[in-house]
Amino acid sequence: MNQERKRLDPRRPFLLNPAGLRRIILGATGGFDASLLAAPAHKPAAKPLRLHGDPAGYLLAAAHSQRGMLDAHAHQAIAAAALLATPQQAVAVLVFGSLNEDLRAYGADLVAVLPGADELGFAPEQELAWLDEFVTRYAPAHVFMPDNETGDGDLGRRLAVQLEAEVATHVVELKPGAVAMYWQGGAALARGPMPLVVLIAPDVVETSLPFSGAGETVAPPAAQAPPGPYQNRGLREIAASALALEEADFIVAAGNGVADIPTLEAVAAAFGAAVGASRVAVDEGKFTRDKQIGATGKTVSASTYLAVGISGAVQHLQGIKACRHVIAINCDASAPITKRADLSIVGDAQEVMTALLAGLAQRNWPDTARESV
Amino acid sequence: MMPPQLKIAALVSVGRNPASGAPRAARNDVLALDAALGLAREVSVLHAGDAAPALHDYLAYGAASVEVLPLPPGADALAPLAGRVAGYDLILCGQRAEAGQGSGMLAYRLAKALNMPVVSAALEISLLGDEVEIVQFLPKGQRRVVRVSLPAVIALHPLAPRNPRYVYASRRAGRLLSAPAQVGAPLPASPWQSEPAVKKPQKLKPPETRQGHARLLGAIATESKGGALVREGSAAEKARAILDYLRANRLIGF
Amino acid sequence: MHSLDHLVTLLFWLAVAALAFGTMRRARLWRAGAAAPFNWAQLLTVPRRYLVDVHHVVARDPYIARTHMLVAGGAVAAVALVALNYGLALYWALLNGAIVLAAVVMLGGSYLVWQRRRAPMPRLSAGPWNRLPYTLAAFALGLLALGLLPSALLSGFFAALIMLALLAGTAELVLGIGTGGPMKHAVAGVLHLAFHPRAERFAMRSTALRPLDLAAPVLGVEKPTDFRWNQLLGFDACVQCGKCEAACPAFAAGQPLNPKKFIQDMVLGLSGGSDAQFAGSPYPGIALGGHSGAPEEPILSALLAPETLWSCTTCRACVEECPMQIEHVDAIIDLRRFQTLARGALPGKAPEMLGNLRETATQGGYDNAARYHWAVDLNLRQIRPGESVDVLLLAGEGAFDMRYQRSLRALVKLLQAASVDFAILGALETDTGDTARRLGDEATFQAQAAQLIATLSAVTFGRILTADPHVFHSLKNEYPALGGHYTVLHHTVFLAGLARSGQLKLGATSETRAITYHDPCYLGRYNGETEAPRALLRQIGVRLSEMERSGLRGRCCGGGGGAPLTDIPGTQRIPDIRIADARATGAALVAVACPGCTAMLEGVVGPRPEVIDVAELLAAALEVQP
Repeated sequence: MNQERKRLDPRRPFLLNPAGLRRIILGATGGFDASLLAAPAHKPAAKPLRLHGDPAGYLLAAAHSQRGMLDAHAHQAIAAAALLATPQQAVAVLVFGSLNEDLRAYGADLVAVLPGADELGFAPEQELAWLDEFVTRYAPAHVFMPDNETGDGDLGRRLAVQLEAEVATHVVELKPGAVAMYWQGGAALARGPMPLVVLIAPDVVETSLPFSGAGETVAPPAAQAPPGPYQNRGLREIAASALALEEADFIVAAGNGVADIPTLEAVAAAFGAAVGASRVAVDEGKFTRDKQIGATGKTVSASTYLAVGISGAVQHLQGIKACRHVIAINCDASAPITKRADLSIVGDAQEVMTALLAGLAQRNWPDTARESV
Repeated sequence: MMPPQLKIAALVSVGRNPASGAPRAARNDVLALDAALGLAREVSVLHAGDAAPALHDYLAYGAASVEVLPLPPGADALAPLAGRVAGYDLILCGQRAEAGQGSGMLAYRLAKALNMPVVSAALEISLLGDEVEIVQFLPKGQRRVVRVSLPAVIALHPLAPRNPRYVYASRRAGRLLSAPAQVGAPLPASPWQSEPAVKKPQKLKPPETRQGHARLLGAIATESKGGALVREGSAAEKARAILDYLRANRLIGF
Repeated sequence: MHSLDHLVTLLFWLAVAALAFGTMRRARLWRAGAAAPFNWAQLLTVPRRYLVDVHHVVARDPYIARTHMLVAGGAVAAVALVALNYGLALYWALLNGAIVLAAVVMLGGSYLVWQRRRAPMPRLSAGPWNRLPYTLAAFALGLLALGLLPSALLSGFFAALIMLALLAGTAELVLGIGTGGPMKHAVAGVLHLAFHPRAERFAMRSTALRPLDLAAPVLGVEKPTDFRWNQLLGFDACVQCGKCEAACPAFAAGQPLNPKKFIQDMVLGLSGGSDAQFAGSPYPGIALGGHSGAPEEPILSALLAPETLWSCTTCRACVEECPMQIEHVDAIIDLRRFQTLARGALPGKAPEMLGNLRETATQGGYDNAARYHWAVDLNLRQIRPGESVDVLLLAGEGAFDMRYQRSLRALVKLLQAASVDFAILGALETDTGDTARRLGDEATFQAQAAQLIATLSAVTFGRILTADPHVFHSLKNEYPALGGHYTVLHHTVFLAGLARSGQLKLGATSETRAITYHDPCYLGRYNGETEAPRALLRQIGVRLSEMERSGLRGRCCGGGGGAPLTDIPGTQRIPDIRIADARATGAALVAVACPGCTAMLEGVVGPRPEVIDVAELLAAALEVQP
């Protein structure tokens, strides 16, 4: 297992501090990461440590990593622990899966990594055994986990039931000692004391912190669960193009102003995005009806909605009400979509799509390696 | 190929229309009911609580009857439900209630009480002898296939690809059945205070330590949200603007 | 006396027997249908219904009106005379002369039938219908020869020829009803006029759907025998003239619906068989031969594809055009009722909308309190239970649509300018349930109606005013059967009244562009109101350039009957066709009077005439108050 390996890695990740000195990143394993080299340019000063001296208690955060990274939601769970910790409490983080990033920025003081979880798939009993051991080890006041659908929401609930502990789920507001969450489908806000297990909703914690965690690597839990009733039978990936639009997280949608469908589909493929269309494009027979987005078509909720050559009739905008980031490429600056879009590119859709493809093909920014997965 | 004696229960709750607040069949529970009806002709449809008129909606969605387990006010639904479904092979429910707390804990607590495995986020369910295979929802178009041995508790994901039909004729034909009153364990006095959700919840932020001028600068520097318009420049520059935006907002991983 | 005369007498009585036998045989099929009131005395209504109501429709096509008058009139006269002269074995030469006259008239008519069928328009059915000019002419020629030539002079060969011609013609005339041939329409048509399932239509414009007993064992129509017997009889009256097909907006848009084929499919359902022999235009996109039916078999999907059922916009253009007074839309709704209430099988977004109605009393799932948000700055009086007002304004679902809110604000401006005592229901207003009813969801409709009737009975008002023809139709024509009796006015009618009485002072419009007016189906065809909006437009100095299809024959915008929700694909969209109609007049502006039409026509992309509600045009022409 991981914790037995005590050998030094000569290419351990490091940072250049403002004085130009190399600083090895504690707790991080794995190879040299170019993105970290570039970091000093953006960070004018190293942040102070939050915790001084020996901790007098612990707060826990736990989350699954994907491809060696925690997502923003998981970062928020760690940051929540760091922001709510008393000056004497340390933040211990348990990561299910390998980890190639530095969690100090989010306030992690102790980091245990379970790279073995990467291959497990669905193994709630094993993961619960690890988490249980970790909780037993630190006896934390609270355990923070992202209430997501990638495993943490499930695991957190299992932990609460196992420990017969109080739990708060979908937490939307955190204060020292208190949490709030929605009841009645969002009509009521319920406040109560902070329980042991706190499953937080996304985007309820600021992750740019004025301090840093110690980031010390600790041994991961080693418990082994006996074989249970669960069998993992592997993953099935649905191609972005086949994904139901309602579920897609990134949609490239075509409207009247797109003549060249193959290019558009190439752009979508390069982003790993689903393809949608406005009613006009569907009516013209360029797309099947199940691709239609709008009042009479699908209502979508992608984080990113790239509207190419769509003027944005009211009916269409109704269908994208829930999209977080809307980017429009349109030849008409006065088209209604520009009022809705967070970024509007005025220009020929074909040229911009071609340039986008070229730009995506180059991809010479730092961490290209991670993309190959 | 399913042994006919398999006992399947669907747990249903009273939901709430988000716009009007009107009680209704909870969408997620309707999916559970529909999935159960897809597995067996006879399904016990159970509701712990009052015999609310909204339960008739489940009859419309195909339940031959809904059995209401009366619950004294303030009592925990877990004990009567667990008592009723003990001995069942498969218990289906929605992942999260629309009304009430909607914590998504019921399936887990029930499974613990019955000492059964629990799988949530189920999209598709198929029976394979004494096992059940579940296609589980994962974000971004991923699906995971999981098998558990029966008996089991399974919570349906709201996106389960089912097409439940609201049929007035079956609503007319179905019945609500009241089970004899059971005494559930009273809940401990709740420390939770609920209020109408009018104000936006506050984000947890580090305390502000900067002094006046720095704060002012910080306030100015906050990026203006939305509405940026790029007219000038070459197509390549425009493409770069898009990629920059995507990366600045961490919408792409490269 | 010659044996030929006796042969004709024999033939006559044989024909009478064949006709009676065939009619009874067909009647047995009709009687398999559900019960409906029956009274022999209704047969007395036929001459009036035929000469007034049928003629009124047929006369729109003078050629066929003349043709039918000649051929049917000649035939009826000739047969009556033959009955007299040969049936009663009188054999008077004078009557033979009269028979010759009638035969000449009939022959002339047959020639006109032949002319039309030489180059038939696509809406006409071919097949057995194409032999009609010949069999009819044979009958007329036979009678002509019989009457003209003294039988004594006839050679055996010539007599045989005459008998053959008479036989052919008679067979066509009398076997049709028993075998389902073209002349079936003569018998079934007469009986249909007598026992029409919507008898009130002969007294007044009758378009309201009949309430469904929600406790009935079968909800709506599943199999042909679930239709009431007189509906089945009505299907048999179809002459396959295809006027419905030519008028149907869904057919024009390439959606898989053809009202003529639909009625013929219902005939197939009652008599059994496959549609391979159908000799008219198929449902667009659905090949012939794939469907068959039987009286006790479910109609969907063996006989009728669901897409066909859900393509109908309930615009009633087919009913308006049908010379045989067949009620296509009632049959469509009966079938939808079963699909919705007993199967829950609705396509597209229709189930979602019905769920919204049940849960929020709005079609879009809105918060009812937001219905009058557009009027927040207009100081409208919101009526409370127990209060009274002269005019109660109901906005309908259009109130949630930002576009239509402009029209509603214009209407409010006009009402305020005319000092009308009016109020709104505000958050108390709920949907009429009209769209649910068109989709066959009678349960939701009746629940919505009960809710709205309860709300309305808590306040006192003189009249209800609405800008939505669907609300108008529902409240005015369909609520009475459920106990809601109101005086309901569409805003164009109300405003026309105000303008006439001088209470509303309108100036001249500043609009100089060419304007056309689109009749909403639920205002025009459903309620006969085509004049009020035109009078208003004339009053502000608009010179309308009318579209080819306007008034009672206006073409649907595609928004009725829940069609935007079921959204059955075609080769083009109905509103695109309607906008093309408008473009053809050269109009730069289409005046409308319905939120549904506004939304549908505004949904047409590309350069198109502007779509604007009559109320908006009027508000802009309001004389400035001193």
